[in-house]
Order: sequence, then C-alpha cells, then structure tokens
Amino acid sequence: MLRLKLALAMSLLAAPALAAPLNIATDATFPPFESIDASGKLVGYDIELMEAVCKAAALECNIANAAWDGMIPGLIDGKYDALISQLTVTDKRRRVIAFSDIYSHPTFRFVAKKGAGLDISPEGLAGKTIAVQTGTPMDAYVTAHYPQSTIKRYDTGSAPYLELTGGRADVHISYQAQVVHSFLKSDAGKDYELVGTELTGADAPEFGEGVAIAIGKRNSELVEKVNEGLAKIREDGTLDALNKKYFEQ
Amino acid sequence: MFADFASTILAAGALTLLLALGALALSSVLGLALAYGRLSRRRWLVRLIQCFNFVIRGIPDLVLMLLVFYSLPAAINQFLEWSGSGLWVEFSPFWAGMVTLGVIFSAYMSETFKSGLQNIPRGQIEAAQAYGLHPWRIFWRITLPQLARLALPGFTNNWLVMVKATALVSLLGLQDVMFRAKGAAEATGQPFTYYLVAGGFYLAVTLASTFGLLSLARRLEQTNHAGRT
Amino acid sequence: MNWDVVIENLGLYAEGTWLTIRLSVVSLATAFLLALPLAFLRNSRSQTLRWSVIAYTTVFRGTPLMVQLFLVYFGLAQFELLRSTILWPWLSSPLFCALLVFVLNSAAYTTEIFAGGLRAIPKGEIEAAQAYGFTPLRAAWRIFIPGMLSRTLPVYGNEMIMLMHATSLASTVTLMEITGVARNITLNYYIQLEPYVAAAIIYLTLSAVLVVAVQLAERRFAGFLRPGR
Repeated sequence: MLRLKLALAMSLLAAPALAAPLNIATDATFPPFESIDASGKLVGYDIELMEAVCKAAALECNIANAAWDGMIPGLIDGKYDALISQLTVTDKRRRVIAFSDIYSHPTFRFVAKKGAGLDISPEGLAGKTIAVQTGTPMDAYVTAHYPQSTIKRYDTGSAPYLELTGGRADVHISYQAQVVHSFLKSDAGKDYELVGTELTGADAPEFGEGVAIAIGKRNSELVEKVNEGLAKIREDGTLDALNKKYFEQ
Repeated sequence: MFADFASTILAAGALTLLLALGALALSSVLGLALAYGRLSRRRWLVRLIQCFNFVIRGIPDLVLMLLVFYSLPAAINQFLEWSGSGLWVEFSPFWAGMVTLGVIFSAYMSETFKSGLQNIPRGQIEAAQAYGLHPWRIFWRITLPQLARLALPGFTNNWLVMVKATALVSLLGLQDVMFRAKGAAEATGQPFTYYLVAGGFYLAVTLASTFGLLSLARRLEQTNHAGRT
Repeated sequence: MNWDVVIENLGLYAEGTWLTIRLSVVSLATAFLLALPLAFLRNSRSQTLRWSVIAYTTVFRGTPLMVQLFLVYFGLAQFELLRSTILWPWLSSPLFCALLVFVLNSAAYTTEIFAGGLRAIPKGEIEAAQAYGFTPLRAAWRIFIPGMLSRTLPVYGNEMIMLMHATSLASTVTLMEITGVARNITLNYYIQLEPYVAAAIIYLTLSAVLVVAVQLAERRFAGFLRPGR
C-alpha cells in the first residue's frame, strides 16, 4: 500500500518527466515488420506504425533494436517503456505485462520446400525437424503439439529461414504475412511454399488473441495514450495506408 | 548490395574498437590496483582478491556478460522496488559490455602486472624511498617504465583476447561488427560471405596489434639497454 | 525470487551440464592429439611446414571463436555443392560443427603452447638422446613429449579451462548446454536473475574441479620444475 502511494506520488512528480523520450525496443530480425536495412537503419511496418502512433499521441519515442532474449524481461524490469515487435497477446504474457489494443490479427503457417509433400499433423511431422524462434507463440505451439518432432530454436526471427534453406530443418512455422512477404518473395525462397492450413488463435490458445504493443504493467497512463494514438491512426486512414504499402491489400 | 552490407559491417568496427579500448583502460587501471593488493601484507586483502580472481576466471565470459546485462539490473531493481523508491537502473549494451570485459580482464591483468612488479628489483624502490621520493614519483619514474617493459607480452596477450571477446557483446544487442554481420547474413542468406568479412576485420586488428606491440617491445628493450651503458 | 523455476528445471540443467562436459572432454582430447604432431611441425626446419602451421594458428587465434563457429555452422550450409556431398550428414549436425570448431580452435592455441614447451627443453637432454642413438620417434616419445608436457602444464591447464568456458558459445547454434538452458528459461519464464546465477554456480564448480585436477597433476608430474624449497 505504501508502495502504491509512493508510486502515485512519484508519478505526479514525474509528470513532466513523461516528456523524456520513451524507450521502445524491437527485435529487428523480422522483415517486413521490423528489420535492419543494408545501411544499418531500422525499417519496417511496425517501425512506421509505432512512429505514427507516437506522433498521434504526442509522445516522444525512441525506437531501438534489442536482443530478443531480454525484451520482455526488460519491459517487466522497466528497462524499456514499450515493445513493438509483432507481439502476440497471450494469457501467459498478460500475467506479467500489459498490452495496448490489438492492431492486427495474424495467421500462422508452416513453410517447407516445394513438393516435399509434408503433412503438418503431429503424426505427419514425427521425426522431422521444425525450426522456430525461441519464446514465440509458434515455439509454444509446436512444443505443446509436436512431441515426436525435433524442435530447433533460434534466438532471431530470420535464423530459422537460413536453417530451412540450409537443409537443416524440414519445416518452419511463422506469421504468414512474414513468410510470404519476406521469404517467399526473395531469391532464397523461390523453391519453398506454404503448407497446411492457416492457423489462428481460434485453433490453439498458444497463438493468442492478436498482435499489440506491449507496455509495462505499472504504466497504465502510457497504455491509454498508446490506445488513443492507435485509435487516431485507425480513424485518419494511416493504418490502412500502411497496410496497403506493405501488404497490398 | 554486398558493398552496402560490407561497409556497414566495417563501419561498426569503430564501435568495436571503442568498446575494446575502453575495456582495456578499465582493466589496466583495475588490474594494477588488484596487483598491488595481491602483493600487500594484509592477508584479508590478498584472500579477497584471490576470491575475486577465482570467480571471474571460473565463469565463462558470455555468462558473466549475461549476468551483468540482465541479472544485475534485475537484482538491483528488485531491491529498489522492495525498498520503496521509484528509481530504476538500466545499462546499455555498450556500457554493460565494456564494464564486464573491463572487470573480467582486470583479473588477468592483475596476474600479468603482479609478476611484472615482482621482477622489479626491490633495491631500486628502497633506494628511492631512502632519497625521500614521493610514492607517486617512485611509481611514475621507476616502477612504471620497467613494468611496461616486463608486462608487455602478457599485456599484449590480454589485449588480443579482449578484442575477440568483444564479439560476445553482439549477443546483448550491441550493433557491433558481429551483430551487423549476423544481420547481413540472415537478410541475404549468405552467411559465409559476411562472417568472412567479420573474421577479416578481427584478424586485421589482431595482426596490426601484434606487430604494433612487437615494435613497441623492441623499442623498450633498446632504451633499457641504452640505460645500462 | 523465482528459485522455484530453477528447481523445477534442475533436470534440464543436469542434461546441459552433461553436454558441456562431453563437449569439453571430446574437444580437449582431440585437440591434444592434433596439437602434438603440429607442435613438432611448428618447430620444423622446413620453412614451408613451419609457415603452414603458423598460418593455421594465426588465423584461428586471431579471430573470435564465435566467428569461426558461425562460419562453419551457418556459413558452410550456404553452399549447395557441399550439401550434396557425403560430408553433409556430419556438417548438418550442430554437435559435430561445434566439436569441429572447438577442436580446430583449441588445437591452434595448444600447438603454440606445446611448441613453446619444446623449445624450452634443455639442449643437453636433446644431445644426450642423440649421443645414445635414439631414433627420432623414440626421442620424441621418451624425451620431448614428457619434457614438453611437464613444462607446459600450468599454461595448458589454463587452456583447458578456457575451452570448457568456450563451450558456452555452443548455445548460439541451438545446442542446449548449460548456457543454452539458462537462456531458454529466461525466454519462457521471463525471469533474468535466477537462471544465469544457477548457470554461473555450475560453471564455478566445474572450473574448481579442473583447477584442483591441474594442480594435482602439476605436483605429480612437474614437481621437479618447482622453485627449490
């Protein structure tokens, strides 16, 4: 109780301090949502979205690349103010961090070599190797449902593709938009195809409810501001323009 | 495209070198202090430093870095939270990397400096003290020049190991040479090419350092002999 | 404090420790066997042989282990040609790649250490062996190798510990040794203090065991080299 009072007192005193730029982290290994281009700059859908939200909510934001390892713990500890990285809202995460309103409902899909004829049921992939990024909803899903397959986990979003093309993994599962727009459209991905059905949160709880911006649990003021910003860019068409730019829909 | 990625990778070389030089400075200063501590007559100090050395040299560099970057702020923040203040601490990957490397290599430097200090004839120090020279003056004019010459091989070795250890900081998210190479490798699907570029950078630095420090060693030997005649 | 998470996962830590031990022992043994002949070649009278070995040790000691590991594991997979050879089943395994890199890396350092040890053998012993008509092989087995081993034991003991620490990098290529287990726990349970501290404690224990083993070996085999009582 005393801590709460102290925190409230501090937040009143710190009101002007909110003017200090927010530390926002992203795991920039996930094109086209967030990645680093040839000159070392942060680019991507999520980057532009966050900048738009910050502008709409009159917040000063500083988006930086961070190691995926430390992002959610860093948010919990207060190292970061927010995370934007196609973070899925799951019950497990809700227990430790807060989320803004959901801004996207992704589908998940397996990708494998053309003509591999893979059946993506747990029996079909028994004995095969599935590559995923550690600590993601895809990781949780395959860990829970594919006990007979070998699961290889990587700490970045793009390493699994390297393993797929290198022949070390038979199949990879990720966000469908990411697979299609960054891998299948590239040179490396021309011999690969999507397999199996589209999967969403409706198919398995591990896939969560949708994608949102993660914010520290004690920062309810920031959650409100971010939601305001999101609502504004939805109204004024910025979000639609962004979707069109990246996904031609 | 290769040129773009390659130049981005090598541009991060400045950051890597800055990190390494910062860690070198920190480890040298701390290592010298630890070396004097090891040679002190106070047993508790000697034991304490031996403990420190054991812990530092008993844990892999990577794990120490993860501890400093992730666990230390977490522990401090947990404590601060429990004590009711609204403060937070956070370390950037650069500072966490530099401090960790500085502390790790101070343990190795202390060994190097300790054996160097032990090889300086005590008679010189005693004579200087008999003349009433200030301890700082003794250090600057008598100890340091000889220590530099005696400790140079060990110092060089530690520097080379440290330069290579900076690659680990990329795992904390610092956008150094290794991090940029990883990004390029994954973006283009050509890991061999870009890791080769990164390897070339480190090899160039270690070769240049080795030759530079070798010629420095030669020069110091010459002045030493000149002093004797 | 979330130590319950660590307790829950003690089984994983145990498996990780076992993998670390296996990686260390196999790499050390193989690197040792590789470095023995290379040490002799390093001191060979033939310029070509000598410089070939120097080129090898320079490259592997002049670049970070992480770069070497990524080059072999991620880099080699880039080449379609390589993927269709019989080498591929070996090279596609992260365990094999990690072992290969650890062996090549450690052997480079060990070769230099052993070569230095060989050069330190008193000429008198070598001449005595020649006077007795020892064949080169016999001389190597009875005089050179024991002499070299007893002289390099402290430095080589250090290299053994360094190799054990280096296995922590295997976590970057999907191997679940101690560090890999710790990182996995932080990613799935969102805690940062306890997993790494537990890993550090395990490494400290392993290092302590190694240090004691090396000191015992020094006393047993290199006793004659100690400064007089």
